[in-house]
Amino acid sequence: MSAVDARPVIPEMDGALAYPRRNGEPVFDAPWQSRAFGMVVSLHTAGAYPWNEFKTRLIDAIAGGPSSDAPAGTPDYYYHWVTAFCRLLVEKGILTEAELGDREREFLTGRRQEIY
Amino acid sequence: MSAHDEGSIFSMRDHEDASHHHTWVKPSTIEARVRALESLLVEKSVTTHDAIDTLVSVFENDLGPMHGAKVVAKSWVDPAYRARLAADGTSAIAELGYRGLQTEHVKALFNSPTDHHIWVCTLCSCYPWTLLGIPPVWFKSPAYRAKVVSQPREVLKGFGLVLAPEVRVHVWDTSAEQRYLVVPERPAGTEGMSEDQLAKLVTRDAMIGTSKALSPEKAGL
Repeated sequence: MSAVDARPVIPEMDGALAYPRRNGEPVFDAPWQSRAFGMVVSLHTAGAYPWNEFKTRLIDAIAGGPSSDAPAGTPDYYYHWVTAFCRLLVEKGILTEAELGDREREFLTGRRQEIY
Repeated sequence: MSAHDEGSIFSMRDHEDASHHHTWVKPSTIEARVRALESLLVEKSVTTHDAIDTLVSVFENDLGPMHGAKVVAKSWVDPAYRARLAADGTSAIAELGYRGLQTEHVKALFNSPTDHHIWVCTLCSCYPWTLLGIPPVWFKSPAYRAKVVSQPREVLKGFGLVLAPEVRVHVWDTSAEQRYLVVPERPAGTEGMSEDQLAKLVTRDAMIGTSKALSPEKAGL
């Protein structure tokens, strides 16, 4: 079964990088967080980058202080996660900032509503 | 229900909404960015919707039990490891590389033909997620939490596990500092099986104590 085989691929994260938990359980507070999580791990398992390349960018993002995108008082772990992911994708040449910005505006304005 | 459950439901609904042209709701900046990422990456065939779904579901549901199952399987085949696990659960588990347990003490409880262990969190829902993944829904139910202490045999019967009257039942109450891991008895007919195969017999319920380890037939081995 694929789920069994996929288990070992979720990388361990310790300390400040540890996945957010509540009552000890890993949690996503919103759907976008789970999509962002799945994308980063998916590209890593597909061989797009070694885990460490994502990890160092996440460390940088967290070290940069609270995310200005996160509403006050909200945990910003996955905001940093998205920042690190965008930076990595651009640096790897997988996406350009321009196409990402354009697509983001399309979703913000409703010009584009479907992900696929 | 915990937030992660809501998360999975909403992410599914999110996807359906997108394909069924429901009323458009302006996304937040971060939502728009993540949608942009997903649509571009799928468009470029770097990943797929299903691949993302699978990883999210693995993370939410299946990440942990495998770790606990490996600890149990090792204790079945390696008497020295079993002794270390009995003496100091936290350290023996850390030997296998499972971290995130630094602040918690894990005590291994060994089931035998004469003694059956089961644990519960009567206070809240403390749970060694790194070992066992997400707790099953019943684990948090007031019914289980209240009843397992006063009528453990009845509760076990509800799980389809009937214990002989002479078997002693021990109920342990977990806390933020003290976690438990039940080591079920090794099933018959498993001589010669590898550790990896044995780990497949060890279910989450078996490590909580509400069931026995699976037989090789039941596990499809």
